[in-house]
Amino acid sequence: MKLTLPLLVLLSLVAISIALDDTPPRADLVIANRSDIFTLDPQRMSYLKDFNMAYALYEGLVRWNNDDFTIQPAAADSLPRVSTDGRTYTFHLRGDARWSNGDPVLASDFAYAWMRAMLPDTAADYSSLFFMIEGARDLFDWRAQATRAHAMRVFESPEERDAAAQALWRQTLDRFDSTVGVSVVDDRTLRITLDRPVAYALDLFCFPVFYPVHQPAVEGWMTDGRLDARRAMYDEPPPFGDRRFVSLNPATARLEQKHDWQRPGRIVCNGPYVLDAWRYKRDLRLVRNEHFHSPDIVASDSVVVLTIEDTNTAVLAFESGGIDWLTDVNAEYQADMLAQRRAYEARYASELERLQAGGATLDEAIGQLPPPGDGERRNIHAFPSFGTDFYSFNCRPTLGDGRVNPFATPAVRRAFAQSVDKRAIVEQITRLGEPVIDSFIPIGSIPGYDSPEGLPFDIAQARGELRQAGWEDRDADGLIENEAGEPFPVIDLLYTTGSPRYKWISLELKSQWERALGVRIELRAKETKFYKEDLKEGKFMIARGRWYGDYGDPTTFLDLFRTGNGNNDRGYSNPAVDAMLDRAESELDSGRRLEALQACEQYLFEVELPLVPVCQLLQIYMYEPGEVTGISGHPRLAQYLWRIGRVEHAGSSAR
Amino acid sequence: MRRLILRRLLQLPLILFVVYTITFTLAWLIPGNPMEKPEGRRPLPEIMQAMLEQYHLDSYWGFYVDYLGKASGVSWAIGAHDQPFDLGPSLQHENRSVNEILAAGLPVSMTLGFSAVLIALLIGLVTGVIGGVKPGSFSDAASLLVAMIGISLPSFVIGTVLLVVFTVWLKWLPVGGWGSLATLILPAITLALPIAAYIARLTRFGMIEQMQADYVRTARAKGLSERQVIWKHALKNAFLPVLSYLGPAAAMAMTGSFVVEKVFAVPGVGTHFVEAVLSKDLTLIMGVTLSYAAMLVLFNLVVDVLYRWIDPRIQQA
Repeated sequence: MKLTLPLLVLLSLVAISIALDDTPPRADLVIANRSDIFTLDPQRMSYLKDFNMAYALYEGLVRWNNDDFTIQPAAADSLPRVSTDGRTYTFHLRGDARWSNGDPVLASDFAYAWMRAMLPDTAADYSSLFFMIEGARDLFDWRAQATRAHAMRVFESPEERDAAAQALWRQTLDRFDSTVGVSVVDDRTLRITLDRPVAYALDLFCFPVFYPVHQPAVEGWMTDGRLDARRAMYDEPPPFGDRRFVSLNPATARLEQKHDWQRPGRIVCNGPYVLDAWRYKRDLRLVRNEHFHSPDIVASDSVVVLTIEDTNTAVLAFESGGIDWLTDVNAEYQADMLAQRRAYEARYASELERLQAGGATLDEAIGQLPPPGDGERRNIHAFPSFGTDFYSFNCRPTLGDGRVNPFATPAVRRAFAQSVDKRAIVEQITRLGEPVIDSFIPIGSIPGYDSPEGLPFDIAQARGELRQAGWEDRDADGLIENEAGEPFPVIDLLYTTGSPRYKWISLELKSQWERALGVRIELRAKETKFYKEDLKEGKFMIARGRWYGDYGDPTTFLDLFRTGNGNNDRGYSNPAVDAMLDRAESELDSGRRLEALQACEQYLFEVELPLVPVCQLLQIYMYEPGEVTGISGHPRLAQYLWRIGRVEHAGSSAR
Repeated sequence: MRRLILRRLLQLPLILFVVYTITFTLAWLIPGNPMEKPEGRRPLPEIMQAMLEQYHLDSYWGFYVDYLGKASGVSWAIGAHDQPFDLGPSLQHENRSVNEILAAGLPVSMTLGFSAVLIALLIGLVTGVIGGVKPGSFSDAASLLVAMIGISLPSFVIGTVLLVVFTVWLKWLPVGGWGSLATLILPAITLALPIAAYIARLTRFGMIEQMQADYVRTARAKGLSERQVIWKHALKNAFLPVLSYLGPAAAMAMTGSFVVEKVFAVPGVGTHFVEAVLSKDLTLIMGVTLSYAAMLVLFNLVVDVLYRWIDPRIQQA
C-alpha cells in the first residue's frame, strides 16, 4: 500500500524521539511534589516547596534546627553579637564558606541579595520583611517614587533618557550604601542595623528570602561576550551591556531581571547541593556541591525532585517503589489511608509505647515493628502544619452591593463562631482528624507562646448573643428577624471549586448554621481567580480562607488583622487591635511581648472574631518509616533535603 | 499540488492573526490578575503595579500590539527585539519562557500523539474490517461493542484502569513519567482508544459499502482470494474517509490531552493550556493556541496532499 512509507516515517520519528530522551540513573533520594518548583531565586520565593529547595541550594547566615526551631549558625561562624539596644546585629562569616564556583562567600553577597529584595524592581513578595532594617522602607518608597517620576518626565533625546536612568540607578546604589542599615564592615563581617528592636529578627535571618545570591551569576556578567561568573575575572561590575540577565529599562528606569540564571551550569549556590538538571514539570536533579564546607552533614549524594500533578498517580507511583518521599498526598482516599495507619498503630500500641519510652522516635519505633497486615498501613504520615483553615466574616460596615452588613457587629460574628461543631467537621466531613482550633495561631508552633482559649462550641450561648444583637425568631417561622421584623439577610457563603474539601465543609457549615441559628445560607462556589476578585472587593458575607505563617512569631498571623494589611480580606479594622499590635512591637522584653500578643489574640478570638477558625491544616506525607530518615514533623515543616536519607535494611521492603 | 501547498501556507499567517485577535480578546476578559499567585502572599501594591506595567498588562492595546510584534517576528525584523517569534515569558511560571515550555512539551505530546494515531490505525482498521466484511455477524457485533466502549468510556477511567492493572497488579510497566518506550505504552493506548473506535466505525461503514461494489465482484470473479479482495481492493477505497478524519484526529492527539497527560504524569503541552486559562497566563494561552492553530492547518494540509497522492481522482476535481 502507498501508506507504508508515511507509516514508516512516523514510526522512526517516534523511535528517534524516544531514543533522544535520556533518563539518568535513579538518584539516592527521589521525592515527588505536586507541582513544579516556581523559582530558585531565594528573594522571589513564596511557596513551601520552593523554600525546601532554598535550604538545599543556599545557606543563610543562620538556620533553624528543623526539629525544634532553635537557631544555629550556618554561613556565619557563630550566632551574631547583638547590641544592648537590640538594634544592631554583627555577623562574622566562616572562613571556609564557598560558592559552587569556588568563590568565597562574602558579606557583600548578603548585602547584594538583600538590596535586591528591598527594591520594588525585583517584585519580591516578601519585600516587607526587610522593612525592619533601618532605611529599607525609605529606599523602597524613594525608588518607587523616583522611577515613577522618571517615567513621566519628557526627555530631549533617547540618550538623555538613558543617561537619566543610569544616573538614577547609581543614585540608588549610593542610597543603599549610605542610608540602609546593612553595612559590609569587611569581607567577612556584616553589620545589620534595625529600625527598632525586632524580637524575631534572628528567626527571619533563617528565612530563605534572606539567603545570599552570587551577583555575577544572577546578573549574567560576561567577558568577551561569554558568561563567566567567577569574580576574579572582574575588577568592577561590568556595564549593563555586559550583563546578560539584567537591564535598565530606559522608559521606566526600572531594573528588569531575567530568570535564566537559574539553570543548570549557570546557577551558583553556596548550599549543600547544586542544580544538575531542571526540566519543566518533569524533574529537578540536585548533586553535592563540591565546595560545601561541611560535606559530612549531607545524607544523600543526589536527589531527584519529580513533579506528579495527579494525586492518584502520585500515590500509585509511590506504591510501586519509584519514590521515597511523597511530599503532598491529596488523593480522595487519603482519609481511608489514614484510618489504615491508625488501625496499624492501634494493633501495636503497647510495643510502640515501649519502644518510644526507650528513646526511639515514632518513625524508628514503627520501623522496628512487623510489616502491616491487610487493611493496615504505616507509610502515610499526617503532620499538623503552620497553617489554619478558617471562614472569614466580611467585617466592612456595608456589603459589596451597598446593603448594611449584619456581620459588622461582633456579637453576630461571635454567635456564628460559637455555633460551629468543628469536631463533626474533622471527624465526619474531612475525616482526616485535623486538630480543631478556637484561636488562630496553630497551637504549639511557636516556642514560648501560649495560645488563648478562644470561644468553645456552645449553641445556647450563640443564640443568646444573637438575641442581644437584636436578632431572634419573632414570628415563630424558624427564622430570625430584627426589631423591625425584617429577616436576617440570606447569607452569601463563598468558597472555591477545585478541591472537594471546601464544598463539603461549606455544605456542613450551611446546615449547622441554619439548624442552630435560624438563618438562610446560599452557597456560592467560584473558581480561584474569581474568588480572589470577590474577596478583594468585599463581595461576600462569609468566605473560606487559609493562612500559613512565615516566621516564628505570632505577628506572622496577627498582622492579618491590622487595618489596611494587604492580606486582610475581611476588611477588618479596629484601632484597639492596631494599638495592641503596636504596643507589642515596641516592647523590648520578649516575655512581656509574647504576653501582649497573646492578649491581642485573645481579644480577637474571644470578643471580635473577624473569622471563625476551623482547624489546623495537615501536611500529609508518604514515606516508609525507618527506611527514610531526617524528615521533620515540626509544624513549621521546613524540610532540609540534605538531612533526608534512605536506609536500606533487610526485610524493609514490605509496605 | 504545488499551488495548493502555496495557497495554504500563505493563508496560515492570516488564520493565525484572526486566531490571535479572538483568543487574546477572550483571554483578556478573564477576570483576575495573571501576576497573582493562586495561594499565598499578595505583594505590595506598588510592586504589583510595576509588574503589570513591565508586562504591558495595564493596557489592552499595549499588550496586543507589543505581543503581536514579538510573536510574529516583526519586532525582530525591524530590530526592536532581540529574538524572532518570542512568545514571551510565562506569567505564572516566571522562570520559563513560553517558547521554552512549548519546546519542551510539544515533542513529548507529538511523540505520544504519533504513537496513539499509529495504534489507533492498527486497532481501528482491523476491527472495522472484521465487522464490515460480514455485517450482522457475531464478529461485527463484537467489533461494534469494542468501538462503543472506546468512544463512551472517558480517558481518565481507561487510564486509571490500565494504570492499576499494568503497574500496580502486574508490575509490568512504570506508573508515569516520560523517557522510555515503557512509559509511552499506556498513555498512547489510552489516547488511541477513542480514535481507534472512530476509525473502526468509519472503516466498517466504508467496507460494507465497498464490498457490494462492482469491482469487488469482478475481483472475486477473476479468482482472487478473499483476503486479497478485502485488503488490496476494498480497504483501499474504504480507507479514504478514515484519511480525511486523520488530519483533525492527529492534530488533536498531538497537541496533547489534558486528562491523559495528567493521569500518566506526561510532561506534554496538554496540561499547560487548561492551567494557563485557569490562571489567566495570557502569554502561555496565546502561545499554546497559536501553535495549535498552526498545527491544525499544517496537518490538514498534509492530509490533503496525501489524499491527492493516494486517490488520483481528486486531482481532477
